[in-house]
Amino acid sequence: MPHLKEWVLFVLFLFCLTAPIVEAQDIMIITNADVPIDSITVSDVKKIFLGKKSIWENGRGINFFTMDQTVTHKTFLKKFIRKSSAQYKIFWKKQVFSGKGEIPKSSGSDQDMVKRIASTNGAIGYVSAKADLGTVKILSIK
Amino acid sequence: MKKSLKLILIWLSFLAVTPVAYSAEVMGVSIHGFISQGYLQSSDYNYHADTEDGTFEFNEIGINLGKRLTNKLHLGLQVFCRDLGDTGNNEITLDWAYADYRVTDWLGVRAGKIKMPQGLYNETRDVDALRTWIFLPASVYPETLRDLNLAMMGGGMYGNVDMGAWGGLSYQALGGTADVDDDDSRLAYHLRASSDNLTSLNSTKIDVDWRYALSLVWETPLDGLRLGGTYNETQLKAEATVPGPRGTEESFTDFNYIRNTVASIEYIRNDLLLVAEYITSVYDYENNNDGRIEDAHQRTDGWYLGTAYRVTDWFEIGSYYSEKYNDTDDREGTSSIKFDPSHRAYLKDACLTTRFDINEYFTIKLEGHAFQGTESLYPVDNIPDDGEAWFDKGENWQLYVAKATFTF
Repeated sequence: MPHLKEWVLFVLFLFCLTAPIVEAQDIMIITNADVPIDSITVSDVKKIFLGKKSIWENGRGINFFTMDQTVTHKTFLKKFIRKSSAQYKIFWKKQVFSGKGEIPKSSGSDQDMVKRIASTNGAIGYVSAKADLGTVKILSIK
Repeated sequence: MKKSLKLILIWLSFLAVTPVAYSAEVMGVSIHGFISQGYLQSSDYNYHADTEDGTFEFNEIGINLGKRLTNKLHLGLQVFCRDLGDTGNNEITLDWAYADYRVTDWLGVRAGKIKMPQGLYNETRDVDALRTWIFLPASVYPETLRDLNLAMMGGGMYGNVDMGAWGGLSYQALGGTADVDDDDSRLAYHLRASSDNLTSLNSTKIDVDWRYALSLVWETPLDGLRLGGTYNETQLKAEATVPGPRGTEESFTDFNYIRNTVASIEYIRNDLLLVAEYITSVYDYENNNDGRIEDAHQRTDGWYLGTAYRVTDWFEIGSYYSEKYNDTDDREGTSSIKFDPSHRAYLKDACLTTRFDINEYFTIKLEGHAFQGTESLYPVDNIPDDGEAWFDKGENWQLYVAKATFTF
């Protein structure tokens, strides 16, 4: 294959130039006060944020919120969803472009997330451990 | 060509720097879309377009509207157009449009024009920004039957069943019919292009009587591992005709039914994707070769192994190896006269691809394919020069692809 060698060398060069940056941070799962649970499993968090669980145990609908491309968001995805930010974004775009779902609504900061969760029935989201929580509920992880 | 290149470069520059690239929401209706422009260049043979000379006739555009009416009811539609060589020609089509009522997590119903499940990626095959590769492996996602396998008019049920410690099961069961364009679809082109009576072909007619599709995907307890199986069957009349005696028409090729079965396995761990899929298809059709009617019951199959790795937020690398066989009873093309030369029986493809995410919305990809074999290449795209035999340039050839895609 002509140019194959050059192509492979080019790809290896790019590979060497790049190095992923990993940062760690504690995450809290928060809900609106009307959500009928006080603890949640990692598996259920994953199902909710992948759109596979849409109803709380009391039959009310789940409204979930994500964050913009922040360290909190990346840490949450890695810890609970087991997907990279790019994989998660593509997962939801696949749902949108096949008609199976909508891009989750996202917040720009901890304060914005807390405000949305507090004002939306059945809402669930996540913030960094240092966030000021106001009236929202923190779920413990089973 | 120079003018096209200039226009495309201007367009790409605009997209790369534009700061207003966001999805919109108007009166509760969310609006998304994608637009892509590609360039194809091949050695030796033409692959679905005039690729030997290099071509920009390779693009897709889609606009998508969705509105949630209640917590359980969602309406959406997507209009789409594309161009690939002589097909598509950017005619606007309704890609999908359906109402989705989710009764509970394990049961929902959909009605309208719905994307058909076939393998893991058929429902999003036209949006290349959703994967690492530009071309999905031709073994499981052949361009030749793209339009036929794309969607169906009808309805069905779906759901996600929680199996506790055993993971979860997603299912879809759909039934209906399909509307496939008589002129501009890949199937119509396939019917026309398969004929060696190239100059006298009259027309193609495609009527799908009914079809159904079943899909099961098991999200296993091993995080990131999912196993899938899809089956679909289509009863149709897909016919190409040639002039007969005294002004009549004779059928040249007449498909009756097509059945596809796909088995899939995908594993995602952190930034690594591993995937493998196998397809087996059965075609029942009649061929009229110089007045000799042949009933054919043909079985084809193919498989691929693929991988992709996200190196950084903006750079991803991927590769796959794919094999596609036109007749499982004659994989090497040596025992049937219909494969002349014998490499018309198979298409083996080693693909290496790179993906650059310039920003959240704009992606550029560069891809190379080393092919062995000429299955899936059409005679009408590869008419030999005087004195040369058909497909006489050997079985090894290459395809280079560049593509820029903008999604919002």
